[in-house]
Amino acid sequence: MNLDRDPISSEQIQAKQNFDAILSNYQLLKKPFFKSKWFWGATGLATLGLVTVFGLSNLNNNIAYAENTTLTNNQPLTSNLPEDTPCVLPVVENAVSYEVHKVMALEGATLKLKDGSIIKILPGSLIANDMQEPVKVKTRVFHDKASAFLAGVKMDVAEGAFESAGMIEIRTSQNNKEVKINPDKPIEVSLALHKPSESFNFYYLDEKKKEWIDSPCLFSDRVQKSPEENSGKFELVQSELSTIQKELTVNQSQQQELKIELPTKEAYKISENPERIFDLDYDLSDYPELKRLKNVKFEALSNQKNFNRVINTTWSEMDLSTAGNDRFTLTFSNAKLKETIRVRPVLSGAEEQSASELFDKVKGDIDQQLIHLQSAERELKRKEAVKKKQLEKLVSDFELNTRLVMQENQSLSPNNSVQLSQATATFTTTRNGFFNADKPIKYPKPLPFQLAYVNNGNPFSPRNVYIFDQGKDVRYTYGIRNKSMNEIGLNDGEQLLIVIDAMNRVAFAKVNKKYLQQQNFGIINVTLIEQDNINEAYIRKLLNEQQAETLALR
Amino acid sequence: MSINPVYHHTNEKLQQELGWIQRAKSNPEHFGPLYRKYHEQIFRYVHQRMDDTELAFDVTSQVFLKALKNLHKYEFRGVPFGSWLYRIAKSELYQAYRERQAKRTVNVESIHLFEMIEDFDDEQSENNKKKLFKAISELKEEDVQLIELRFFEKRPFKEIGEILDITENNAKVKSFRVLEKLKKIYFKN
Repeated sequence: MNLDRDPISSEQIQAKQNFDAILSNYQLLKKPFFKSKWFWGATGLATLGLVTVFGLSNLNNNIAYAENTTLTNNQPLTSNLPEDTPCVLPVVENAVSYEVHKVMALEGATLKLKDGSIIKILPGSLIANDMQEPVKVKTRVFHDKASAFLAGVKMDVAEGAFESAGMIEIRTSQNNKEVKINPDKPIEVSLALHKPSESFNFYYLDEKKKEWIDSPCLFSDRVQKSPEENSGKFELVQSELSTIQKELTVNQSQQQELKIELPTKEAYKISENPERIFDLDYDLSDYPELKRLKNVKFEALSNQKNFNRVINTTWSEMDLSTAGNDRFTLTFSNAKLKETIRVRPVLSGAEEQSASELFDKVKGDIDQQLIHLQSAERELKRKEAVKKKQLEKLVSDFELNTRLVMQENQSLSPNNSVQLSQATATFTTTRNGFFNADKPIKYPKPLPFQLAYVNNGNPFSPRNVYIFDQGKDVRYTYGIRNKSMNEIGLNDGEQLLIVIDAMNRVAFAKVNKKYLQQQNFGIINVTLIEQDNINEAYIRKLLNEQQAETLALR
Repeated sequence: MSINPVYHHTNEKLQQELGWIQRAKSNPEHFGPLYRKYHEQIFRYVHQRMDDTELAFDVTSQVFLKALKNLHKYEFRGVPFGSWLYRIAKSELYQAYRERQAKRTVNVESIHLFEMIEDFDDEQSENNKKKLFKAISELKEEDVQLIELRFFEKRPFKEIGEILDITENNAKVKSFRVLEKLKKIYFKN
C-alpha cells in the first residue's frame, strides 16, 4: 500500500493519449477473411440450411417433430400468471412437510427446529381465541433449491432472482384459524443459515402485495462458543460505549462551565426591573462623601419588600455603606421612621445601551454553544442507548449460546444430525409467513432467439420456466410479473430447466447455452416427470443437491 | 460524500455517447471521442491499482484496444459506456498481475484516511491515520477493492455495481459491511 503517492496531472495523462496507435493496432488484429462475417454469412447459411434439411430428415418422428416445432413456435410465449395468482403456489400440495409444535399461549415456549433454528414465543405472544387450548405452530425451513421450488415460493425481486442462505415459514393456528401475534410481544426467531451471512439481505414475503419486503435482522456468522470470541465482541462494544460515555461526560461538564459563564445583568450593571430604579435627590454640600455617586442610579434588589415605602417617603437623613459584590446598603431615616434597603448601581443612557448590547452578544454566543452541546448530548445519549442494547443482546446471545452448547453436548449422539449452525439471522416478527435471508442475482441476458419445447415430439407449452444455475446457486423464474417468457436467458455451463404447463405437468431438460447458440435456435426436448416423482428427493437428485439437513447443519 | 460527476450522465449525454458508439461500430475511426472522453478516467483507475506508471499506460491502451475489438458485442444498458470500459479494465488488470508480474498496489491519500476517521467519529491525528492505514492492509483483497471504489475514488453505488457486476443494492450492502469490518479492526488495534 502506498500513502500519498505523487499525483499525475491531467496534462501528463493527455500527453500520453495516442488514438492513432490504438487504431493501427486494431487494424493488425482484424480477422482474416475466413473469419469474417461475410464469409460465414454466406457459407454458414448454406451449411446450416443443408444440415437442417438432412438433420431433420433423419430425426425420429421427423414429420411430427417438424409440425410440432412449427406449432410450438407459434404459441404465444408471454403466458404470465394471472394477477390474482397467489405468490406461494406449490408445485404439488404438501410436497414439503411442516414441523408442527404445540404451544400454550399463556405459557409461551422456546422451539428448537430440526435445522437448529430457534423460535422464542413469550407468554402472551399468541392471541388465541381459546387460551386454554394449545396453538399449533407449523414451520418449514428451506435450505435448498428443491424444497423452495416445490413449495412454490416466489424467489425473485425487481433486482434479480434470489440466492438464499436460508428461509423459514411460520404459521400459527388454532382450530384451522390463524392465530395473531401480539404486537407488544413479538416472536423472536434465530434462523439457521447454511451460508455465511455476508452480502445477504433479509426479507419477509408480503403475500398480499406479492413481493419480498426488506426487513431488519441481526446477522451473526458464528455462534460465540468460546468466551474468548464472545468477549472480543463484547469488549469492542463496551469500549465503544465507554468512549461515548466519556464524550457525554465531557459534553455535560462543558455545558456546566458554559452555564457558569452565562452573563448576569447585575455583572453588566444593567437593570433587571426598570420599575425598581431610583436615584437620590440630595444636597451635595450635606453629603460630600457621595460626590463619586452623583448621577448614579440604583435598583432595589428584588427581595427588598420595603421598596415602595422607601421611595414614597421623604427622608431627612441618609447613610450609605457597601454591602460587597458591588452592592450598597442605604439607610434612610426621619423623625418617625428608619428604613434600610439593599441596592445595586445600574447604568443609564448610552452606557446602559452599550452594556446591554455587549450583554446580549455574550449571552447569545453562550446560548448558541449550549444549544449545540445539548443537541450533541441528545445524539450521544441515543448512541449510548444503542450500545447498551447491543451489549444486552450480546449478553443474552452468549447466555443462549452457552445454553445451546450445553444442550448440544448433552443431547447429541452420533445418530443425531441436529447441530448448531454457524450463521444465523435473528429477527422479531408479529406476522405469520415467509422470512428469507437472500441476495438478488441479476438475471442473465435474454437469448437472441426464443425457446420452444417438445416432449416426445409433441409441443409442450409451459406456463412457467424455471432455470436452476448450479454455479450461482439460484433459480431464475420466467412467466411471472418481472420476467416474461420472452426474456429467458442462460448463464454459461449446464443448467437444469424445469417447465410447468397449464395442466400442472412438470418436465425437465438439461440445457447448455453454448450448444443452443451453436445451433442458433432453441428447441428443447423436455422429459415429463411422473406425478409420483414430483417430490423433494427426485428434484434434489436432478439438482445434485444434498439432503437439507446435511447442508444446513454442521 | 461527493459523487463522481462523470458517472451521472444526463439523458442528452447518454444519447450523444450512444451516437458515438453506433458510429464507431460501423467505422472504428469514430471511436476517437469515446477514447478521449474516457482515457484519463480509465488510466487513473488502472494506475490507482499498480505501481508502474508506464505499465499503467500500457494496460490502459490494451483496455481501449479490447473495447474497440469487442465493440460489436456492446449492448447499451442505460448506463455510461465507461462502466463497460471499467469492466474491461478490471479484467486487463488481473491479466497484468498474472502475466506481466505487475504488483497490485493500493494507493491511499491522507485526506481520504482523515475523512474515514471523521466518519468513525475519531480524532484526526497522525497516529490514527497510521492505525487506519494498517487496518486497511489487514482487509481481504475484495474488501479493499470496495473501500477503494467507494471511499477513495468516491464512486456511486450504481457504478460500483456495474464495475463489480453486482446489483446496486448489493454494492451498498457490501460497502456497508466492509466499512463495519474496517471499523472493528481499526478500533481493535
